Amino acid sequence: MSATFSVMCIEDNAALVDSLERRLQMEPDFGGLHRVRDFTTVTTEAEARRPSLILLDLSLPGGLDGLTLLDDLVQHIPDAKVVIFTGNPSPSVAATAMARGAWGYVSKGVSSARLVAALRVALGGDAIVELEE
Amino acid sequence: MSHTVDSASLDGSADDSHLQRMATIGTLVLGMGHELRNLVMPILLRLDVLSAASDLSVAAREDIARIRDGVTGIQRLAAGLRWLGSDPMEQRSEARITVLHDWFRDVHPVLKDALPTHAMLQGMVPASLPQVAVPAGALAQVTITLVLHARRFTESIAEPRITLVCRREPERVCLDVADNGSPFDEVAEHRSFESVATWPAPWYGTGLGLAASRALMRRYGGDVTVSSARDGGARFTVHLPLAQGQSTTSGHEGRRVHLVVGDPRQRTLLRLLLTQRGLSEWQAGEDGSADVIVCDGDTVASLAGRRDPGASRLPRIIALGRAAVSDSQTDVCWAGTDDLPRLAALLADA
Repeated sequence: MSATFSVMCIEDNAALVDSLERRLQMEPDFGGLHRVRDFTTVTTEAEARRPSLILLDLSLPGGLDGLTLLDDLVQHIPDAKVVIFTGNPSPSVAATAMARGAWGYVSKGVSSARLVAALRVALGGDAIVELEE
Repeated sequence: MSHTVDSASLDGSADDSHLQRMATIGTLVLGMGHELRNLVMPILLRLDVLSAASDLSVAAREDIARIRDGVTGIQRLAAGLRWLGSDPMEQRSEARITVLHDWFRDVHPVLKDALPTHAMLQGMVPASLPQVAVPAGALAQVTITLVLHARRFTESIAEPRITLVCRREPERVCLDVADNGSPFDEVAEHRSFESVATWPAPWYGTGLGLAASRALMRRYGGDVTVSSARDGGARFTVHLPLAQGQSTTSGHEGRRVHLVVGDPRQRTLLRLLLTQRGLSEWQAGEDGSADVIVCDGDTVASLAGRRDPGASRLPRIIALGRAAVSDSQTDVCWAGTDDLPRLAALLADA
């Protein structure tokens, strides 16, 4: 078996994170999912854990802006593969996120198959934008 | 009931109230779409897990498939709702291109939900239509307004039928919204465009009236007109200007852009901008040549040198990065990928 991949999830919807973990457990090379519980220490946690992929929601509790977190992650961990995973399928926001260094922008309005495929694309070193079906 | 609407000019305070109502509804709708996506995705992921079980009966697999269909339908509805939530007057310039076939697929569930269950909604929006230079959200809101108008005037009909047909004309696409409702009253219909229209049943609507719908389309170079429908009701026609590069008779030959960009993130960003602009990507080895080349800044000199000066038209070059002093006398345009407005403007002018 080749190397496994790990995912860090910056998302306040616990049901979604649990379901994503269950789904990714079906992937033979899945190495684990880390839930970020304190959104103010995202960059520190990411630096320490060095996940293969960081899934980042744009709307976070406490008025935290996902794009600002993206800037922090890109600045401190230039090789981090950050994929925006959001309920906002706006092409303009997607373009902004990609211009600011995201490796992907995936709407929560796509099918689960397209979500997993998009994560695979980013893991494979390419960039991806998946808005709606 | 005759096919008329009550027209009333609104004073400033009523206009403000009208706009505030639109903004409030738009915000609520966007929030609802967002929440629906958050609810649906975990269900889809769990269905994947359930489906993977090896000991499921045929009936259980059938149940899972039907649940998936239903949930996917909710997801489609959420996709349509986003058009209602967008501000029709403040669409970003790079998002003005609409692919009508895809747009109709998203908007159809919202239109269907706006009508009584016994009403028939027929749509014909061929995939072969060229792209139009009107924001999808603005077009959706105008279309919903027209469909709701048709609903109002088919309420007394036993078998109400509303049809949406997109057809190509030489320099535009026309979207006809026709109904088989109460008889068309030419004078009243034309007057309905004169001011902000209200209906006796104001509890359904986008907040746009017919006058505002026409004004909105004219803002983007289109129009809304009305005539008598074949079935005796009204036929509203939304005139949609073609997107740049779509105005040839054959229709589907937008300008082609060759991307010579190493960073996959920048390539993906550029492909997104091309889609929004109605431009297509040209790949090495394809027939013909590119109209525009977008390249990394450090390769611009070699690319510019390889252009054939004898060609009838040289491709324009857009280089990513900051201009080098030695390039100041060339016709290469420079833009950073962090400067989206400039990049979008350069692609629009390409």
